[in-house]
Amino acid sequence: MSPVSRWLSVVCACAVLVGVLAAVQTDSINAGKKAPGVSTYLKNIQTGNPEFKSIGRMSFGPQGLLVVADTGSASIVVIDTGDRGPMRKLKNRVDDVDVKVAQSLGAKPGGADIIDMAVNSLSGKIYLSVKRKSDNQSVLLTINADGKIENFDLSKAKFVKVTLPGGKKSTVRNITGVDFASDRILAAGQCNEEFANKLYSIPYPLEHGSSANIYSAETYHVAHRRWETRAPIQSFVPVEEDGQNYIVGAFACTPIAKFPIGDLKSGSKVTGISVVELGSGNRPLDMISYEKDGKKWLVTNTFRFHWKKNMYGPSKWWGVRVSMDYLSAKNTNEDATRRDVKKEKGPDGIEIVDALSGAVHIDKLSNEEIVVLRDDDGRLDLELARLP
Amino acid sequence: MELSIPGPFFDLGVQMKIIRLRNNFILVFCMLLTGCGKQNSVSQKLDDTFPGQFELEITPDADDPRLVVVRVTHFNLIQWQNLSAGQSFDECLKLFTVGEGSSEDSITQPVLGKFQVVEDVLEFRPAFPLIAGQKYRAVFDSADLPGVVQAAPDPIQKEYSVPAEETAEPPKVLAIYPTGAIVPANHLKFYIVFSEPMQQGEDIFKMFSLENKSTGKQVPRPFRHTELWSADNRRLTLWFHPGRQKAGVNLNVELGAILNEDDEYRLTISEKWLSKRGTPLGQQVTKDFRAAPKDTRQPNPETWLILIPTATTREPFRCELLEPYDWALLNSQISILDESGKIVPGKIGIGHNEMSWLYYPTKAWQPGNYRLKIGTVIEDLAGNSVSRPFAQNISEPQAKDKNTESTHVYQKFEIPAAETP
Repeated sequence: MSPVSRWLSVVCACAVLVGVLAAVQTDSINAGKKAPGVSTYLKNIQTGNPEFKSIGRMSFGPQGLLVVADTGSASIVVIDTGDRGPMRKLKNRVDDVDVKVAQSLGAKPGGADIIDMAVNSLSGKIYLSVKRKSDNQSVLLTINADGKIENFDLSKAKFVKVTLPGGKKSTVRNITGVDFASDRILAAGQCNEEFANKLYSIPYPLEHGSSANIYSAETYHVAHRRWETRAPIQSFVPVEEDGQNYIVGAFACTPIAKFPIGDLKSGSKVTGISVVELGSGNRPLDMISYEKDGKKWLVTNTFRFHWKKNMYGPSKWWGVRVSMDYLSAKNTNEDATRRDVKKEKGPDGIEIVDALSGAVHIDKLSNEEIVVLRDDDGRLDLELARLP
Repeated sequence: MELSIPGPFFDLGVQMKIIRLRNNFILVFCMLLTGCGKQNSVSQKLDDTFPGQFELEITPDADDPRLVVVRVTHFNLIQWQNLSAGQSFDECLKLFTVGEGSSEDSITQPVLGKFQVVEDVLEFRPAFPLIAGQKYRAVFDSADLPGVVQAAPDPIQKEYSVPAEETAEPPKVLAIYPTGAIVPANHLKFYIVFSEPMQQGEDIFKMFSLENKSTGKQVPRPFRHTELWSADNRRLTLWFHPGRQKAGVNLNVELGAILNEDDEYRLTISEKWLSKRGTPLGQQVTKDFRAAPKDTRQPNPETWLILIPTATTREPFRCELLEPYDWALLNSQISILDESGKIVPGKIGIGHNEMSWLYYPTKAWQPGNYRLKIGTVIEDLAGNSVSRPFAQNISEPQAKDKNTESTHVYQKFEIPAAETP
């Protein structure tokens, strides 16, 4: 080996060493900031089919984890989709998605119900929980950036399933919402016998087959500071504020209430006091929160079934954003802030969102964009929309 | 005909020629080519007697005609040798749902499923069983087959109709609870029991209507659109919208209650509702009732009348409830305990208009002390439970006295020894 070659070899070896050291150091730095892994959230992960009896509402959490309600077995299933990016969001609107979904399941148009929609904010991939009407077959579908519908093969899913207290005897037969909070999964359920409505708390890590740590609180609503009734939470979103965790929820007839997650104790009674009224005759569907220009907003889409008053806008499905400031309001119940139903905006901080006109389902992709499943004269289109 | 055939198989220096004679008899000639080390391409002459002869077939499973395999074969193995794992076949082979009227325009989205190449056959299996009574069309376009050697001039098609399920008795509504003809104006829910599972989904709420017979008008949007089925999918809990039954809630204030006292109503279930098997109910089912004054009183088991059965007999235990109760909760919330606290084995019976609760013991009653165990969630027809009224006026100072934190209350009774004749 010539002296020059030897010198070059030494330089190269040093360069490799420096590179390795730098990589090790970078790793250790990243390790300090590393997001919690799947094992933080799930324990005793199974591989196989979660065997959905009746697939329902769902939400994405961290690490591509998808929580799905199985109303047929009163269970909560968390699937590790393995879908952790890269980001490839929907390129173009997908028209007639309801027809395409039905046909892709071998049914005629109208032969399948899209129960819920969730978007993975790591990849932009859209997930649909679907039931085929002819045999109530539960299906999980995905829609990729090209708008292609694919089957999420549940036969080889990595999942954890926990059954809500009561198991098969449970009268909770509809789970109206599931979501990830910072330290637990929350689920709202309604009973099919007694008039009771539960909010379940399932701390991390969720352990497959174990219901030991699950507890529920009953949800109530007070009207006019006088009439307290049990009341179902139709949709909710966990929010964090000044280091405190809260649930912002909408009761079935749209009063929006907020309560600390810490209030959820086993067997406790959670009373939601209306802080914002969006107008009667609305059925809340989805809720998301987002932040823009240092201001936090709550966004919800609702179905308006009020037939006495004219609707604002052409569609029965409409959406509104509400400044989170209202949710800390002292004025509640009959003094709760009411949306001005005759105007697009008002009072200040409550605004109809045009991009949500016709929105049957929404989910948040980022602080800038949401995915909207939109009614188009009886058909459903899927597209991205910008948040105001 | 000379063709250039790229592909990894030929890079190994192996050439295979398969001639398929009719269906299954296959002659395989393997020739080791001497061109080991040759790269990129091999020339081969295709058999001109089988130009582009792809075959498409849909084969149903012998036991379940909803399970099918769509198969594409070709007489020449060369067509398949260029295929490798990871290639996409969803452009060349599609299975479509054929709509009513079979309009080509209505066919857009192929059925989801899995592809695989098994030896010289391309297979597609739908991800889910096909639907009984539904027609499907498989379309294979060899021009879109990855690495195709010799495409057929036109796509080929094959249709398959899944046999409809055997005509069976249409589904039936076995019962609608409450069975009585009078309900309070703040009545909350119905239970509808079917003979078999029905099709589910938001559309089921279109199957229900409520007519105010006194005014001749339909009651707009009376039901809560939340599907609540029993675990066996045969019982639906149909709620009136609670927001309209609750005092002070915006819906109640603006739209009023659903039922007006003294008016007559008819609940109708559409004959079009399909069972899960796809058979319609076939005839409308109705329930007529009248709205009585609102009921805001909590049920009180202490007022129930207990009829003591005779010892050493299997006479039913009978409890007169004095008002109609929630049928499902009567079945799930009451039991009889013996002196040791064990449940007396037996069967529950519900009396006329859900106003009495009966118990048929498995064995003859023994003299002794018993307790009737009652879950406090048990409700009357207006949602007032033993534990709390449906709507509680919390401005009343004594409001909390009406609540019980206990999950159960008990009524004691004694069965005396039978008198000797």
